[in-house]
Amino acid sequence: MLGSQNRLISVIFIIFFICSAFSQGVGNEFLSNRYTRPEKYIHVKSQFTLDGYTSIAKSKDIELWADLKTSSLRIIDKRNGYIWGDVLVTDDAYNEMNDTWKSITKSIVLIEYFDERGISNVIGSADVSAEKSYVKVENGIDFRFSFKNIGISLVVSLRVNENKVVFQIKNKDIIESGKYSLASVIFVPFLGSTVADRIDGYIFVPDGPGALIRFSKPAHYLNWFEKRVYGKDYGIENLASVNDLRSRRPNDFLREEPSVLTPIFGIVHGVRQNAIFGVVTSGKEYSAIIAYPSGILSLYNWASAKFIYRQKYLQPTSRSGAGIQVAQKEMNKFDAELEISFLTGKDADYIGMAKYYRNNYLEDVLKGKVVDNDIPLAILFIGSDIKKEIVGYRTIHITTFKQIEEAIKDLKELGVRNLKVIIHGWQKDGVHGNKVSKLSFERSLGKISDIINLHKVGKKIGYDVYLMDNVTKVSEKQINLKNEVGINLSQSIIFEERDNKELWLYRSYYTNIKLANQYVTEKITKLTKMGFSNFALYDFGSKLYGDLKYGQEFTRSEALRLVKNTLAKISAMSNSIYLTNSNDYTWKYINGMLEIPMNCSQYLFETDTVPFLQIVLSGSMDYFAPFINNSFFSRNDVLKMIEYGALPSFILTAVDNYVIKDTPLWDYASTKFDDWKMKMVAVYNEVRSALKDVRGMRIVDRIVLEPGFVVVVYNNGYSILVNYTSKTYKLGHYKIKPQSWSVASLRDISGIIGVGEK
Amino acid sequence: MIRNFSLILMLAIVYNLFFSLVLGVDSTFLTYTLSGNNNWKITQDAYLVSEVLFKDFDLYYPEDLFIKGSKLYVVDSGNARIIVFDMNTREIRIVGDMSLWQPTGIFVTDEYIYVADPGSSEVVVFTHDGEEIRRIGRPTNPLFGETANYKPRKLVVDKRGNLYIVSEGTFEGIIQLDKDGQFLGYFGSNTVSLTFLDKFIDLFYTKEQKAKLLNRIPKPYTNIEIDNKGLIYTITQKENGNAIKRHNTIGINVLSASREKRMTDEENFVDISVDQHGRMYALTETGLIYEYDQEGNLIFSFGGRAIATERSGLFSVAVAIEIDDEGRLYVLDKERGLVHVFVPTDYANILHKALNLYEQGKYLESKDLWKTVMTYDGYSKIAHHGLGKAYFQEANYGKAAFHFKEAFSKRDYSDAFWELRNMFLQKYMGTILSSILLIIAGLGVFNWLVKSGRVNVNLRIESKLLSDIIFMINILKHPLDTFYYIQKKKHGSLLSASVIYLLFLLIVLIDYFGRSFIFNLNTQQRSIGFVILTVTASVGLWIVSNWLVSSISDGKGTLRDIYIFTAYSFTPYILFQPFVILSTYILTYNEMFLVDFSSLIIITWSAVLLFTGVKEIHDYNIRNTIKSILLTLGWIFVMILIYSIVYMLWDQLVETMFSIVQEVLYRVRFSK
Repeated sequence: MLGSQNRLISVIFIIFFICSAFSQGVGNEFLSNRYTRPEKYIHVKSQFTLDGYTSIAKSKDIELWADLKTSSLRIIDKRNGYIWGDVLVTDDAYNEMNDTWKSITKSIVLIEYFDERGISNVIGSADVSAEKSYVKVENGIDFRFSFKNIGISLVVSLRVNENKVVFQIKNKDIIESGKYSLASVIFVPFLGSTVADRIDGYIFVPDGPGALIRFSKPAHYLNWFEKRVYGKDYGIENLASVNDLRSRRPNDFLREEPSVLTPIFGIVHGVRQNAIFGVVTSGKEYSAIIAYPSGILSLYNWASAKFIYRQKYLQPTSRSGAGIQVAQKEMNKFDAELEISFLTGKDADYIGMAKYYRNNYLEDVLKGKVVDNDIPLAILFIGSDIKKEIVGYRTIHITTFKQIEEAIKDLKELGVRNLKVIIHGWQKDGVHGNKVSKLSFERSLGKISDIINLHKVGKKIGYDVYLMDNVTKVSEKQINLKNEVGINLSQSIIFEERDNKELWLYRSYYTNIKLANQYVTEKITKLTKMGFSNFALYDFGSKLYGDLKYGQEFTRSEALRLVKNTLAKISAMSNSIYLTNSNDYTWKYINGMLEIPMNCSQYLFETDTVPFLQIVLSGSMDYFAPFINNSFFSRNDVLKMIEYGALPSFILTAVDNYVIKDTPLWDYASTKFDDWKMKMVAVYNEVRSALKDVRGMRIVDRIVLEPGFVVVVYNNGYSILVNYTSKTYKLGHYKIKPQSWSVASLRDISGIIGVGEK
Repeated sequence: MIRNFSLILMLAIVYNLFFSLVLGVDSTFLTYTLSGNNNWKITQDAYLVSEVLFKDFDLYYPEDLFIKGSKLYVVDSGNARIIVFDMNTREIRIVGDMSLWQPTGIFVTDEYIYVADPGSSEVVVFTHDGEEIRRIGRPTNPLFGETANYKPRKLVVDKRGNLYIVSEGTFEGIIQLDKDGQFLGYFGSNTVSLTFLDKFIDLFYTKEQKAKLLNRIPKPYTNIEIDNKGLIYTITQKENGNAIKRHNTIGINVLSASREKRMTDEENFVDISVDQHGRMYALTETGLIYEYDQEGNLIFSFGGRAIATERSGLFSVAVAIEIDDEGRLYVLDKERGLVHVFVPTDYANILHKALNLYEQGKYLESKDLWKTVMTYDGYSKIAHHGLGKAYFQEANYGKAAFHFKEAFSKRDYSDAFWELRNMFLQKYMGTILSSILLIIAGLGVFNWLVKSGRVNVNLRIESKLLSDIIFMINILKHPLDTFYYIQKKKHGSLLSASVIYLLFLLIVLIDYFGRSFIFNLNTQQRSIGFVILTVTASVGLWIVSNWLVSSISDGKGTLRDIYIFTAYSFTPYILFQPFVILSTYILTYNEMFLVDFSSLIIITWSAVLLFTGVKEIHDYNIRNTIKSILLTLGWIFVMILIYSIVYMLWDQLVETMFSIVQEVLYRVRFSK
């Protein structure tokens, strides 16, 4: 361990020597939290002892100790002797807190509850008012907590298993016997917490591709990190903040934040020394990942997963939609289970977590998944859409089948070997006008036989045609608002609005999830009979919501199972399925992901974006960057694609954009095929030459040597060196030009950068 | 329980879920530009946040920023000091922490650091080493006045060392001091703009009353900036179309777009920065950044407000903006004590390059760049305009006209159109002239044939309806007779009038939507339904009100008469306006008065006919006619008022019923 430390330090020295140390001036994009900072690898020592704690259970790797009076935990990692704990009562940071929070820090469970008026409050299991009893079992302990004052009791079971502790609350063990109702539960909130920037390390959260919140000085942030796993539950959460810019410009100004695609989090104490890695294994669809950086609530940095039993929702009382917030009456039914693994040494960082997650949790999901031999380029063509006219609207053709055929021919001639041609708006009345319930073809684009032919020819000459559909988020023209839209808990239909009423169709609706699944299955069944075999679904894998029509509720859990079933069915029928930005439960069934997140939400407390998701998926499926011709066109974006192993994709039309001015596609500033053709080929060639040696390989390591200079190592011994800066780097005999990249053999550089895994 | 319920009801929030658009992923906010007819349009990212500075450094309510060379100066107002941040080494130095009270503005020259401190009512001058060398207090010059305010908030210093100070509570303009602190005068004061109501009140108030009652003072300036040519820029809040002003050396606003109040701006601008090319960057308090070209055309609008979440590029309370020589923007968040640094993307860089060439008049050289800009955003007004200029210079008028049309640059389009028309005329002059001659000759022959009786053109119209409709032509020559016949029911029927109304509606619609691009009435956003509703409602109200008025004031006309004569009064408009509409396709901007003038004549003619109609049909004298028309208008007003009141009450009733039903449903479902 120490040896590798020394080596790393000498490595850093060498690098500095090579490129003559300089500090980074202000204003370079790679210094933002969309990129990763170099690690300092400062040695960290545990501040905890086991005094006053009793041993509960042990495995080969770890030993669990507890203070049975408070339920505070200590875990000793036997592999390196590091002791994990919650807080030290001698700390100023601890003593600044109020009594409720003092007890919470030492609790193995924090519960949030609603009173009869729907006002929420929190209490920890260490609170004096909570009656505790426990039963020791072979490899763990079962705690029963009765919160007498609020009439809630529950059983938390802990089991030690290899290098992890499993926390669980069974739904049947939750008893409510009063006017208070359980809102949510957080296991061991303060396990692994740290005070401000006292030690080197970070919290890892699955925000977009992955984000780090490095421990830093306290600051008064407005918000903390709290994101629902699998995105918002539109069946309940339809509350949004008011965005008033107080300007004459449209208020619609925010980009959607990336959502949490997989329920994990991690805390690192000393990079490549000690880490804990949490995975929600049951109750995922009702969980949220939370992280509190120092300065919010307390001086501690802490993170965990939250299990949501009840939420507040809006009960409208007026036609305009104003209403009151009330708490859910019925509890969400699920068993809450969180596994916290302890990682040491080389595994103790986000890369180690990604590999650990992949090997231990996704084996079944990613097993047998392979990608084609050649790097693909994805091009999404818009066939047709509806256009607003002085009276009513009509359908216009935007890219005909013939034009798509010619575009493919062009690209083939220009040397694009592997093309994924995705067509949207092939349905009658186009992208925003097609009736989602039935299969139809827009005749103005050409004959149905043309598109079938296009598909057939593709198999021979090396491109695949994907038919894209969106049955999830639709416009009012696509759906019967009376009986096809999902119903939320307030018993109104589920819709979203853009804060710009001047837009045509500024409101989108979410199809009843049961119908959406039915439509997908029906349409794809028919299409496969016609000879199609590749399909892409927009939003289907990223939006998860129930249908809560009174008396016939269909919960989020049921919706999740339904979506999985549908995907299993259609993936069995077809050759390849692509989803956009899709949640982890879909990964088993898909061959590619479109619009993979490439940046975190960029909260001010987030310090880095890391390619956790990409490390997990690399080699198993194709993941495509967001459409390059929509604000992902800069040099840094292309470099980032290469660094993350993401593949290029474009959204295209045959016509100029002013032709689609009065369609809902107005937001796309630039999609004309002819404008982007050469850029497409250039990006494709560049990405291809960078990634061809690591095609189908997994990312096994990633080191940021300096701000803007990154090495990504693959399991076949190749590594990609990416230089975002404006100066030349030398590494061994490799010279990486400014704003460029290079492929290196690990043999040549492993001595210098001190990494490598065979 | 009910009480509790209503208690919570008071906390009611608006039930609205706004979603945001996923387009690209690098920025947290959307970037807007203006397209065609000044429509706001989302465009590609123009700026990205690269870094957020001072996260580890406690700035306390900072108020201002300044960039000089590689140094960033921050006025750390709450801590009463100036932070000097070296952007290369990231070293921080502190200036003036013992001599400032509540600094809010800063300006740095090669020699000195000037700090405006309203706390001590002074401008404090430091050397670059941080040594205080002078405090410029209240001017002693009697011209400045004993009672005038002197609380310097913001300042700039020109090359001669003269100070321009924005002082709190000073409405007279910018306080101009020479380098020794002597008062030179007020600079570029805002004018008082009078609203319609003000002017109306003016009619009735005496001079004394005005002096006593009306507090008409000009709006004070909020912020000030100077560019490298020495032009002074100011921000005035609560102004519309002229929030930004560019002043020449004697204080006159020389930014024509602002003088004409046609800039796309915001009332809550707080700061402005100008780069070396004269492009302006204005910041709203809500964190929006508006970039303008030299002429004041909006290029981009981006950034946003941190309400629920704090993300890069969103601000709690934005107060200051600065731009460095590389085009990076620094925006200060006062509430959070942070500086967000924005860097331009490739798209913005290319657009800037194209603009630089454009502004030097190198239209042709800028052509390819504009084309590249268009590949990033095919709607961009500014790119279409630039490309149009390039084609115009190339004498490719067809393409120029096309792009000017996309950019909605009517004047430039008109110029291109003039050239096209000219070319057309030159090419086909012979043909046109000869065909005109032929037509005239043909008409002459035809006339001669008719007169000499060789051709009989005595068409007989059998249909009563058709003859009634054609009868409207009669009104042009003999209005009085026509109205007489209508009253006597000899000509005109309900049916014919209805047909005429339909014709009228059709012409109005064509007039509204069918004019050529140069003369169209900017009605893109209006729907046909809206026009139809407005026309039918106003005509309908007129007929009914006039009938009501006439029946109580001895009018002879029946409802039927009024319905018919009103229709016939529209004859000039129906017959002649189509020619005006057609002419818009031939005429250019310079001949606009022809269109306006002929429209005016036609409408006046119709109005006179309507007047005559009222007089004749009801058999009034002039005085009674005027009275009747005024009363009719009054009635229309009353009817609209009553309708609104009834509508509102009804709406409230429905609202109440809805709430009750909602509450009952809620109780039934959940109070088990």
